[in-house]
Amino acid sequence: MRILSEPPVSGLFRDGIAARNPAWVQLLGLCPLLAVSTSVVNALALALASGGVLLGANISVSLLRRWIPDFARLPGFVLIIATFTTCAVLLLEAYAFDLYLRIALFVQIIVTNCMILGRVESFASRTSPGRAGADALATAGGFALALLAMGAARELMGRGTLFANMDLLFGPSAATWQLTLPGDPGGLLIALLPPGAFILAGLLLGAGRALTNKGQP
Amino acid sequence: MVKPVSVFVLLVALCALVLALTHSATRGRIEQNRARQFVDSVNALVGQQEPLPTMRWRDDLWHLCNGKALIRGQTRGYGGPISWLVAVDLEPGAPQLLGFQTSGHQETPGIADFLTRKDDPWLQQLRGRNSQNMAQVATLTGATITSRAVLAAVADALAHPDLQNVQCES
Repeated sequence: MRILSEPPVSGLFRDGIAARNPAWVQLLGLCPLLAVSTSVVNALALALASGGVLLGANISVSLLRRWIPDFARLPGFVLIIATFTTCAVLLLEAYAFDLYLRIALFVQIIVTNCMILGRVESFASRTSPGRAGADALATAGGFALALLAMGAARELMGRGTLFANMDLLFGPSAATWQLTLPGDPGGLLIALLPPGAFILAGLLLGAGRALTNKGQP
Repeated sequence: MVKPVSVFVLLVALCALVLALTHSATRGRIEQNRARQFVDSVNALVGQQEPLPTMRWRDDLWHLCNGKALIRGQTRGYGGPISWLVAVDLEPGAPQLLGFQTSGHQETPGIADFLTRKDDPWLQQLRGRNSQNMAQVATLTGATITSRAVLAAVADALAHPDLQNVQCES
């Protein structure tokens, strides 16, 4: 099935990052978003893992879209997503072991992230691999932005640091990237706890809505 | 016309192939990482020990023959079992804790990061305690269940029945 008028690729990016941002506008994938965004490094790792899984799943589903039987569509999609998720976990364990020890639990549940199933089902299964890949990048970019904004805000408020422990992801030279607030701010514990994550997500959501709905009541 | 069922079976086979390839490509590094982590844990607990002496676990207790012993075990945490490694100084009378290392856990990321952080102050304060004054350690706010599990693990380790009369075998 073809969509009647296909929007241009640049529109895909504007949609994925702003107008149709998976986390802020569609409120998808909130469980890993709230759980993992306690620091920039955790958030970045989850964003990369989800993005990789989404890219792989979108392109493969698009390539296979003519062969996957309709009755087995959803099981097939979940199977493909689960395969990519398991690969992401294995790669993380092989190449970023310390980070794996910290966030493995939430990388494993990428498979249930409705953001990915949503893009695969409603977009990739109906379009060419190139467009499906571009859409995956756009959606993953939007999700990554939301994750990083939350991660930065929570790390700053909860621990008074920014970019701490980046060496877990980028090797020993990144250990110096850490910025610490002057003085000893201590840190607001609530920013690191789930209730703080909900409050902050609500504030970011409200700010996002205010920016995109300018002029509307 | 190909039957849809056979297409699905093919898809399953394809996914299995991708998984098998990734697994064989990463297995070496993953095993290396795990072995490395174990050596790092032992080093952090009892100082430089490279290469490690031959492992001799007896009922999860390993006498290192330098007045120290390692104990391993699992305790139920918030998200599942926490696997741990504990080093004990075999002081006659009251064995002292030298350190606690987590070798695997499923606790909430962010909240339970202290388990794997180097020189975490909460874990540091356990050092030098024995089974008597271990009870005075307060749990960690925000990670009550996880830190209580650590305290239970340490109490378990210090209460190991063979700790008082373990023999060095080398």
